[in-house]
Order: sequence, then C-alpha cells, then structure tokens
Amino acid sequence: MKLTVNGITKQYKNKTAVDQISFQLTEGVTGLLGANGAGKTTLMRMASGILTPTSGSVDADGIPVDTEEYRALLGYLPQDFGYYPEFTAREFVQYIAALKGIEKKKAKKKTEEILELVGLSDVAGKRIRTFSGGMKQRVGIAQALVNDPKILILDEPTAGLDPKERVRFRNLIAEIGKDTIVLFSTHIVSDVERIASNLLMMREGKLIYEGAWNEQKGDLEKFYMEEFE
Amino acid sequence: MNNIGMLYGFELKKILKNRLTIVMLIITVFFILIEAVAPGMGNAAGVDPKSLDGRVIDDALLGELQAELVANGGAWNGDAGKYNGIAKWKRDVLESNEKVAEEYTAQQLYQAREENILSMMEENSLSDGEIAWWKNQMEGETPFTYYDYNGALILSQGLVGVLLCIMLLSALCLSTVFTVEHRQRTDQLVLSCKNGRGRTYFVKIAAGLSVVVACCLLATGLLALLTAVLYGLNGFNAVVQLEIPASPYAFTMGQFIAVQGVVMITAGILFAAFAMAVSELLKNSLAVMGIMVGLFIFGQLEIIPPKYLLLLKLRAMLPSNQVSVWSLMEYHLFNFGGHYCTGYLVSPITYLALSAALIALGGWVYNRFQVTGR
Repeated sequence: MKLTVNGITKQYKNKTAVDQISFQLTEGVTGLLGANGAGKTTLMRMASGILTPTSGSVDADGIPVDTEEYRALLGYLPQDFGYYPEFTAREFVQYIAALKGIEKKKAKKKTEEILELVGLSDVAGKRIRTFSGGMKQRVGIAQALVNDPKILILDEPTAGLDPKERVRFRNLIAEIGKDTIVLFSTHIVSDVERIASNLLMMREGKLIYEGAWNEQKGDLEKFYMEEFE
Repeated sequence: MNNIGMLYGFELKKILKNRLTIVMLIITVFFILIEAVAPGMGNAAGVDPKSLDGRVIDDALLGELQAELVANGGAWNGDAGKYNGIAKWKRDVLESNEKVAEEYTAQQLYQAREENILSMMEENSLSDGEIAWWKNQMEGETPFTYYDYNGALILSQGLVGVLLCIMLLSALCLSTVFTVEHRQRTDQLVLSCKNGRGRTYFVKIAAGLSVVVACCLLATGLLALLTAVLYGLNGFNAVVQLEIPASPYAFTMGQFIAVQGVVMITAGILFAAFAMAVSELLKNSLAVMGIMVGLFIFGQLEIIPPKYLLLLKLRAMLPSNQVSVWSLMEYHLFNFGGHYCTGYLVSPITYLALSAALIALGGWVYNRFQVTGR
C-alpha cells in the first residue's frame, strides 16, 4: 500500500499552517519531527480526514482521504484526545470498534486482545476517569489499533507515558510497522532514531527533510537542534 | 448492520448515563406524582360522582339541580354533591357564579353557549368560511350527556406537565449529545472512524429520539396508572364540552386524550430534533436551552393583538399550547385551498416536517465539521 500526500496546503486567514507538502509512504515507521507550531498536527489531521486541505490531496492507493473506504484503513491517535468518563476502557474500545464498523462478536474479541496488548486487561472494567495519564494514553493507543489499520497515524503517542511504557510502546510501533504504514510525530529524537526507517522534518509548515537517516549523516539530535534553534 | 445496533446501544448508554438525564427522569417521576395526587386533595367525601352518568343534560336534570340549589342554598355537601358537575357546567356556560342559582331551560343554556362561541369567533376575526365550517361541525351535538370525567380530566391536564418535562429533558440532556463530543475532544476520534460521518450522526439522532419517545410513553403510562388507581379511569366517553362548554370540537375526552398523545409524541420528536440539530449547528448547548425556554415563555404570553393572525396561529401551534386543554377553545383554522383543518391535524404534521428539516440541516453541518485549533 502507498499513502500519497500530494501538494497539501492548509491556509487559515493569515497563516499557512501547512505549505505545499508532498511525500509518499509505504509500509514501515515514519517519524515526523518538528517544533511546536511547525504544522505536524495539522498535517496529521489532514491525513486522517478530519480536516480538509485548502489545496492538494491525500490518498491511499488511489482511495481519497474523505471516503469511508479510506477511513476503514485508518487508525488515528490524536495528540490531545478525549474520552467518555462514564465508559470503562472495555466499553470505550468496543464503542470505537463499532464506529469502525467491526461486527459485534469480532469487536468484543478484538477489544480483549488489544487491551491485553497495551497492558490494560486487568483494569478493562474500570471507568477511564479513574485512570492515570499513562493509562489513558494506552486506551488511546488501543482504540487506534482495534481495526488492524493499514495506515496508523499517531500524534505524539508517547506523551504522558513513563520511560518503561515508552520503550514498550516504541517496540509495539516497530512491530506494527512491519506491515503497516505508521506515521508518528514526536519531540523525542531518540524515539525516531530507534524505530523510524524514514524521517519527515517540518518547520513553519514546510517539509525541510524527507528520507532515511543513518549514521553517515551524523547525529540526528544535533541536526534537529541546529534546524530548530 | 450488526455494528450499527451496537453503536446505537452505546449512544443510548451515553445519554442515559448522563447525570442530567438521571436527574431529569427523577424530576419527571416526582412531577407526575404531584400531577396525579394533588387534584384529589380536598375532594368532598361521601359523594358518588358517577350516579348521574348517562343522564342527558335536559330540563329534567336541570330541574333536579335547581331543587337542590334551593334546598341547600348553593352548598354542595353529602349526596347533593353529585350535582356539582352539572352546576359547574351551568356556571361555565353562563360565565357567572351568580346566575347559577337562576332558572334556565336546557334550550336556553345551549342557545347561550352557541351565541358565546359565535361571538368569540367574531372577536377572533374568523372568516365566514371558517364560521360556516365550525357550524357544520357543531350540528346536532346537543343535548350533551353527562358523565363524571374527573379521571380523564386529570390525565388530560397531567399530559401538559409531561410535555413540560419532555421539553426540559430535551433541552438539558439532548442538547449536549453533539456538543459534548466537541468539548471532550472525542469528535476527532469519532470522525476519523469509518462510520464516523453520516451513519453516526443518524445513530445519535435515533438514540435521542428513542429516549424522548420512550419517556413520553413511560411518563404517560405512569400518569395513567396513578390516575386509574387514585380516581379510576372514567369519563373517556364524556364530551369535552362538559369541561370547556365554549369548545366547538366534536371530541369525547378519550378522543381528545388520544389527540394530545399524538401531539405530545410528535412535539417530543421536535424538541429532541431541535435540541440535537441546533446544538450541532451553534456548537452551543446553552444557547439551545435558552431558545427552547424562550419559546415556551412566548407561548404563555397573552400580548399578541388579534390583528396579528399569523402570530396568533403560530403561538397556538406551539406544543405547550397545542397539548393544553385550553387548545379546545382555539377557533382559528388552516385553509388549504378551501379545505379547512384544525391545529390538531396541522401541528403534528408540521412538527414532524420541521424535525426532518432540522435533522437534515444538522446532518449537513455535522458531515462538514472540521477539527481545527485546540
């Protein structure tokens, strides 16, 4: 599968949040780096179909982003997502499974599997409002994975996770990235270095770097710091 | 389709687990208890209100009333209390407490009633065609037959309270169905899912409408049950003119309650559709609550001069007025190419048409919503 972002722009009244960005992604993990306000979240929202670009297009093997067919392929974890405080973790993931069109029996089975995967099985019956920040983040990750997405978009997925959880989650992304297109944004350069086979770097709405990063190119963190000074 | 049922179940759960919904349901039950119990307080003991059931209101019955009036000097105690309903009817026809003790033949009372109705129709600027239509409806309706209709009346009046509760339930609980998704930032999760746009909107609407219709039915059922236990469900075959003599409608109390039921359920659908769709349009549930309460207050105001016929008709069509017993005194008709209809037919159809339009508008806005800012 190929995710194609073609000349995408998002223009607000007097600000261009994303400016003429184009790239293509295939199976594997792509890290998206950029300072606050660089346009990462806007780009990810457009790639998730919840924000319409001013110009340009996004498609997956020719399937346009604004279609049900595209959304059926998608798993999305927003940066600052909400939850239903009255729902338990199990209910929340099952609800998202229903939204994703998964048949009832399968949704229940998949929910249990995914909660096990993110280490929330023992608290699946507890209300989300009683959870810590890290546990809520894991619920968010679970909902993004419940439909076995072919395209996984994760906006700062490791934010709020403790170091142990971060490593565990990083490994999970690497595993999923073997047969899924994963685009994840982060501020943590080491996360990208460890698992991303491909790198996108944004500054002021523009793509300033695209491609793989290897040791011959030098220290990624140093490059990143220089670019955003 | 199976997952749509699952989605519907979750949307229903979201509404029913909302604390405001639980509070409103408790208030509704409490309100119904008051509506059912309060009318029975202070009723005269030892009176068999059904003893005159089936008697035609004619000179003979009015003569018995007159004899009791003379003997008891207008006090209605003990067995004489059975004439209370007839005396009330006579007072309402004559629109005077003092005249009740005076002697009138049945013919004179029916004549006075008809003159009163025609005079009010003229005051309300009814056209000749409307008056002719009403005269045709009223043809051969007298003499009236008396039945004790206390149970039916309590049920009928209680439905106004039920409607008020349904309006509050819609305004407080359903106006947040969409706005809470934006406020809690769950909208971005929902909209990125396969069924997030389109289907989910209609499932949410269906869940909201189901809650309102179920509440209408359950609240009416509870009121009917309490009324039956406390007073007996009597008087369904009594004509509405026993309670509202100036009404030209050819309804029995039972038929009127059925009409109220239809008006109430369709009004409930309109409340729910309005609360959900307009809150999505404005992205503000407080504004929706304000508009709904404002419309309710407008419906209670008596400040519209008779020359503003359209405004008067619109006010009469507001659900709180249309379901009230006093709507039986609404003389204005709707003229569709020479065919006249009453508000009882036009209002439910209008409520459903408006609901459909609001739902379509809300859907249009929902499907175009963009997640920005934050």
